[in-house]
Formats: sequence, C-alpha cells, structure tokens
Amino acid sequence: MRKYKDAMDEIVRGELDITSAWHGVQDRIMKRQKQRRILTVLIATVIAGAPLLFLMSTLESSDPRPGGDASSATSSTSSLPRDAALDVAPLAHVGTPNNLSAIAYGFGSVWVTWWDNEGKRTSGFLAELDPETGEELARLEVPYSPWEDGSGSLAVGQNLLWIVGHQPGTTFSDVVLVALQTDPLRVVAEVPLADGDAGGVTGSPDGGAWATVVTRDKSGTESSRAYYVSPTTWLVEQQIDLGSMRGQDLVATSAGRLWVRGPILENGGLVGEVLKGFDLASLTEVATLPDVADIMWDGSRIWIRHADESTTYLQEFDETTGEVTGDPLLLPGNVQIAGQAGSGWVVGSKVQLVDLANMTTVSSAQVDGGEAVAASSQAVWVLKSDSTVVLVRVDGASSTGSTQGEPANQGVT
Amino acid sequence: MSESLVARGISTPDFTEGRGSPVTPNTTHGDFEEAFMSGYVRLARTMWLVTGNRFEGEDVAQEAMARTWEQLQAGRPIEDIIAYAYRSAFNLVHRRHQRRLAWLRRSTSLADVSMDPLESVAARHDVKRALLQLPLAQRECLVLTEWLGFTSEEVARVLDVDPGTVRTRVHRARASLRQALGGSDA
Repeated sequence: MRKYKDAMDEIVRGELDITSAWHGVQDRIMKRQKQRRILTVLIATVIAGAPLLFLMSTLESSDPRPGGDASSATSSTSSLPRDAALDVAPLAHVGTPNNLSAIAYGFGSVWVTWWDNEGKRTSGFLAELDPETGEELARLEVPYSPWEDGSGSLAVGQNLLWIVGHQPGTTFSDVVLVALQTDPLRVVAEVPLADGDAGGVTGSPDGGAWATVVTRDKSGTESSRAYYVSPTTWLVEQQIDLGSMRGQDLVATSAGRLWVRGPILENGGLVGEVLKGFDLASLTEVATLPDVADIMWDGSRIWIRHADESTTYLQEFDETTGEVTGDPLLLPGNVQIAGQAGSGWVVGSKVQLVDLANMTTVSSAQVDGGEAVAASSQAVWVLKSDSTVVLVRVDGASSTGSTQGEPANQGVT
Repeated sequence: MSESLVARGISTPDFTEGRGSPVTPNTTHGDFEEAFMSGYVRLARTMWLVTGNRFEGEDVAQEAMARTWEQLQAGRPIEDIIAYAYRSAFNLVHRRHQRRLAWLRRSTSLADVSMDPLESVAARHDVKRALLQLPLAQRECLVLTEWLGFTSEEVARVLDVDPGTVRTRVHRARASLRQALGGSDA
C-alpha cells in the first residue's frame, strides 16, 4: 500500500509557507478577540440603552411619513442632487505602468490588478486601496494573473473576489479561476477551467462565479465557453457553450440568467458585438441583442452601451423581455461605463455622472480618459495607463456612497 | 489526546514527525509556537488531502490552531496541542461538509445538469479525483492510515470512532480506489 502514500505525497508536494501560516493564526486570534470586545461593548450598550431605544422607536412609528412609508421607494429612485458638482483628484499610484489589468470596487475598498516581471519570474498582483485616501492597505502576489488584454477579469462577488487568469507571462495555457477572501487578503481556491485564453468573470448571486475561456481547435477555429464554479465544492458545476462569441463581460442575476457580452469572431475577423442571455435552469439561450459595446450592472438592473456605425447610447435592458427599454441617452463615441445603485458613470475624455432613474446627465468633469473604471453610487475610480488612480466623486459626498461593495467592475479594454 | 487516554497507557499518535509537541500543565505562548512550528505543516497537508483543496486545507489547519490557542487561553487542560488541533480540524471539516451537502441538496437543479465537470486540465489528477470521490469518512481514515501511518487505534482516537469502524472504512476506501483507478493500487 506504499503506492497510496506516494500518490498522496505527490498531491501535497507543494511548499507551505509556515511563517505566513503563523501570522494567519495570529490574525485570526486577534480578530476574534477584537470581535469579542466589540460584542461585549455592544451588549453593554444595548442593555444600558434599551429603555431609550424603545421610547425612540415608539415615537418614530407614530410619526406620519409624507408620501407613504419607506418600503414604497423603488430602486430607480435616485439619491443624486440635481446640481451635483464633481471633484477630480489623483488618488494613488499603484502597480506597474502599462501592465495594469483591472480595477474594481467592493467590500469598502478599491482593488487593482496588474502583472510584472520580478527577477526572471512574471507574477500577477492584487492591491487593496483605501477608497478615500488611496493608501495601499494590502498587496498579494496572485498565482495566476489576469489576462492583460482582457476585460472584466476581476470581479467582486458576494463574499469573495474572483480573478480569471493564466499562469503569469503565458497565453493559451491553463486558465484558472482564483477565489480570494479579502480580510485577511488571501487566495482560498484555484479552480482549473480549460486550456485557452481567459475572458471575463462575474460573481453569481449564490456566492459562486461564472468565468469564460476561449479555446482553439487544431484548425485554429475559436470557440468560447462559460464555466460556473461553486463556492462550496470549488468545482466547475455548469458549462455553457458560447460558440464563436468571445465572452468578455458577464452578469449573473438573481433571476437565474447569465448575460454575456463580447465580440463575435469568424475567420479571424470581427463580425459584430453582441449580448447573449442564458437561462441557468435549462442552460439554453434566451435572448440575443446586436451592437452591444458594453454592459453595466448597477446592483439591480442591466444597462447596455449600444454602438453601431452611426450612434452610441446608454439604455436600460429588460432581462425578462430581452429588449432595451426606457429612454436612451446619447453618448460620445469612445467611452467606458460603470454604475452602482442608480448612478451611472460614463468615462471618456470627460467623466459624466448619469442619473439612471431619469436618464439625465447630472454633472461632468474633465479626466482625459482611463484604462479601466470602477464605481460606487457617489464616485468613480479611473485607472490610467501610467498607474495613476483618479478619484472622481460628487462634491462633499463620501466616495463609498450608500452601497457596500456590490459588483461594479470593469477591466482594461 | 485526552489525559484519560494517556493514563490508560495508550500511545499518542506522532503528529509532528518525531519531534513531539509540548505537554505541560501551564502551556505558554512559546509552547504553542513550538508546537505550531513542529506540527502545522503536517496538519495542513493532512487537511489538504482530506478536503482536496490546498487553500481550504491551510484554512482549516490555521483555524484549528487558532481555536486550540483560544482553548488554552481559556484554561482548558490540553495534553497535546497538535493532537487537539487535529481533532478541531476534523470537526471543522465535518461541519463544512454538512453545510456543503445541505447546499447541494438545495441546488439539485445545478447538480443534475449533465456535464464534464473537470475537463482535460484536472483529468491529469486521477488519484486526487478518486480520493475526492470517496465519502468523507472513508477519505479521512485512508489519509490518516496511509499518509500519516497511524494505526487503526490511533485513527479511532483522532476521529472518536471505534477501531473496527476505522478498519472497515479503510478497507472500503481501498476497494473504491482500486475500482476507480482501473484495478491498480494507485
């Protein structure tokens, strides 16, 4: 039975970093001690303040609310002031110029990925930045770096960050989906998907993730697949054939749909850019929309950037009908979009804040473009090719807005 | 291991590759660190084999060590730090396994979908896949027996089951592996 031991030795042959592990244990101990202290204080506060809280809640419930109670408010109600001014300021320098991959906002932080050559080795990196000050809070070398030319290769999921990437410095190799926890920042799983080119990734409402890979057969014909990775088994549990579409931007919704946007390549040429929808119960295609250059998920609804030869506009997309709906907003030609909780950000030579409830531009400011953008409801972070992160926010508002890290990411395009 | 086992003259399994972990009435932080340094890597690799995931294995091992320290701080008499951490780690694995099973039961529509879940990349890891397809209880017994070299009695104490149960599980695990690997032993 020696063979079983040898086989097991082979499985666990990788080096383990005992120093990091020791720090990891210390962190856990200290964190729980802190949580216990906070809990103790909270309990003491609640016990001491219970009579006062009861009195306040009684008074509050008897206070008539103009226009009905809060539950009647819809997600389309905008919190943006009509005359919001925008502050634009460089926030930080992070990563290696021209090697940047993606930026995302979530879990109260801004996340930036890039790749770099350190010595003879190419590595991927992920940095956590304070959204207000730009201070680098954490940095991690990632075993698989996001594809440098891909978009949406970094995603904020329900509980985890997700990166779809290659062995650093390679293309058309094993594509791996990496799951990371943020506090403390560390890799929790590496899930092999397939041999090919990494595409995009998005968090799924159940805590898992969908990622795309482009593969090539012996004749050089490309095809693409979307892979669902479970957060509990860390296995690929569903696959969808995307055909000749390169899946680059993905949104998985609580309605049980996966929306994938990307270019269609045939015989090496670009045929068009489409948005396709798939029903996840039956894994069948339910809708296709042509001329979609970008998609944006604001936490409750999908928005598309339509672009054909003559016009570019932003419009809401109804995932139940598979059609655009509401008023379109005309946009400049070469822009990126990101959104959160009723606020849309259009980033080109100018940054434009859009009230999605009314489809009106609230304010704009000069930023001179960027490589990638990430948004909260009150701010947008623009990643520039020289490694500068520029913060654009509503004057006087907290950049983190009212939401706490819903997926709102965009990679380099 | 509990004090009663030692009192009964039952040997403590070697979790630390021969170096042993400290056994003192008043364990200090230094003792804990020494035990960690001598036993962590083996614990993490064991959990890596049991969970099938390096990062989850490390996560479980670190969490188990943290909980062990907290028990020491709370004044709990622990005879063998690393042995206690193993028990704690296996308890964690069991709880996570139960949660996963519950999740899978809720998600039958996902699990029922016909597919090739691992494709070509992971197909290279036949032994790992066969190991992961074993029921958790059999996998634990096999890893402790084959990889750590424990006797059935030692495994029984770690997992808090009967030694006969351990032997049955190991026998079934080996049979399943043989079948999964096409009749070879590994």
